[in-house]
Amino acid sequence: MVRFQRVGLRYGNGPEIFRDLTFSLPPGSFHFLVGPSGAGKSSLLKLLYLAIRPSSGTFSLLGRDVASLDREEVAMMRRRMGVVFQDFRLLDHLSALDNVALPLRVAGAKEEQVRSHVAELLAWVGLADHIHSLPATLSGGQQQRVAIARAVITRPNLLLADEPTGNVDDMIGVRLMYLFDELNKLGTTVVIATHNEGLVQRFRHPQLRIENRGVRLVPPAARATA
Amino acid sequence: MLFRRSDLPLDRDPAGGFLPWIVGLMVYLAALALAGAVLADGLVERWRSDLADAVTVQIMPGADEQGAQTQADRVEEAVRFLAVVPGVASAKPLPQEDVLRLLEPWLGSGSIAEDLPLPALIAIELIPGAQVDLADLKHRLAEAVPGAVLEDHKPWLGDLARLARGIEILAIVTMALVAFASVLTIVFVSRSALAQHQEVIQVLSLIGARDSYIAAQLQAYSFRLATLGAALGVALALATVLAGSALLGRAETGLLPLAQSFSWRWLLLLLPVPAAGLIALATTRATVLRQLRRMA
Repeated sequence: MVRFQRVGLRYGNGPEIFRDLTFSLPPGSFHFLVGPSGAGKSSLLKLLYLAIRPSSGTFSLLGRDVASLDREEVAMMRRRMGVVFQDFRLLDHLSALDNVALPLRVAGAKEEQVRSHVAELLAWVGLADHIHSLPATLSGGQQQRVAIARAVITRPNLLLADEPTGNVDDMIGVRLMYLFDELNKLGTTVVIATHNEGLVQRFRHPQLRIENRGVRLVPPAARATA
Repeated sequence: MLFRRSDLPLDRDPAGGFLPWIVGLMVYLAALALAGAVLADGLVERWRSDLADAVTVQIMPGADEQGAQTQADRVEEAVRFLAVVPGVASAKPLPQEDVLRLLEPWLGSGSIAEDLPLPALIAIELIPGAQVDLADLKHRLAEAVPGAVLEDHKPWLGDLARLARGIEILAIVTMALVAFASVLTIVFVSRSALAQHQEVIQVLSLIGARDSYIAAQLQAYSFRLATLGAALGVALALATVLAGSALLGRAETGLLPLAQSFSWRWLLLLLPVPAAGLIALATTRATVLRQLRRMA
């Protein structure tokens, strides 16, 4: 699903962010992406959603070498991914429904299917009463759930989420984790960047730990250790 | 190609708000030039069909030394002469009242005109398509009948046709300039829309929108604005032409018979509407696709 081979990353002539990054994520896996702030969690996610390209090494995604993709192929690949951005990136002038519908419409889905699917999902994340609300009228937590709904509406092969439970209370956070688990059981590969040790402890998925400009795979948190 | 719903909040663009007005103004000017060309063309055609086969002979008023032969005698003589010339369908003297009426705008209807020595006119109609050497005929007629001058309208029509062609070229150049200025304006508006909505466009691209999807949205937007502007400009130009012809019609100048000269050519005036729309569409598409590739 995801394979990094000796990938290096730096922005322009800036400091090296990753060096010799080598790891792979098998299809259907579920990983937490952890590490201290500023270590490069967001950069790794950006690599994964093709917003930036490696400075060196090989990165292949969904069976394709990323370096060989043209713009059209990048678009097609992104349709197989869902991304929850830390700052949500909702479109302010569109209702919750239209925001969540966007990936389907962009991919040319039929309008009648779009509406029912989206309404159903929004109800599932507890926003049934806010379908027609603009993002600005929603709380941070509600906006986050809209962003998550938008990321999962297409049942992506790969789901990337940057602090998806950062703005919601624990109960909703757990509910969202169940949603991710549910998708994972349907075959979606999931990577969730988080600071929330509680979630990591509770859901016991393997971790990608960023340290020393590299990534270390850590087995699921044992009950006793951190 | 045209979206009912837009993912971009384009209607709030300040630059886009001006587009219809700019396009409208330019199209107005272009449509006026076009109207001028159509009008000139129509007039030339009308005059040509009226006059091409017509030749006039003037019999100058008799001076004393020409003796007993009166002007009327010489008119008769000229008509007899002309009647047997091959290619001439008919030669009819114009009644003197008609000649007076023609001169009325200049001389008034008083008795002055009757006292003036006026030329008598003979209208000749040629058989359509007949090859008549008018220069030779003019020469022979002048020898046969003293004081007879044959007037050919063709040189005058030629000048008129050249003038009409000049107006046509002017109209075409105006249209080209307007099209070029429109392209520049639309490139500017498209770029400013792209810059203004960069974040939204980035999100669209991150969730899998193709470049062509993004271009389609902006395309539809500038198509709408440019078409609206062009329609405005054409409507204004038509109003101007109609108002102008009404004014001229009241002045009773028979020279500008706008109402009668309606032809399919007037449909040309509508051309700027689809043209502006298509130019806007193509320009925006090209601009957006190029900018997106550059942004990557």
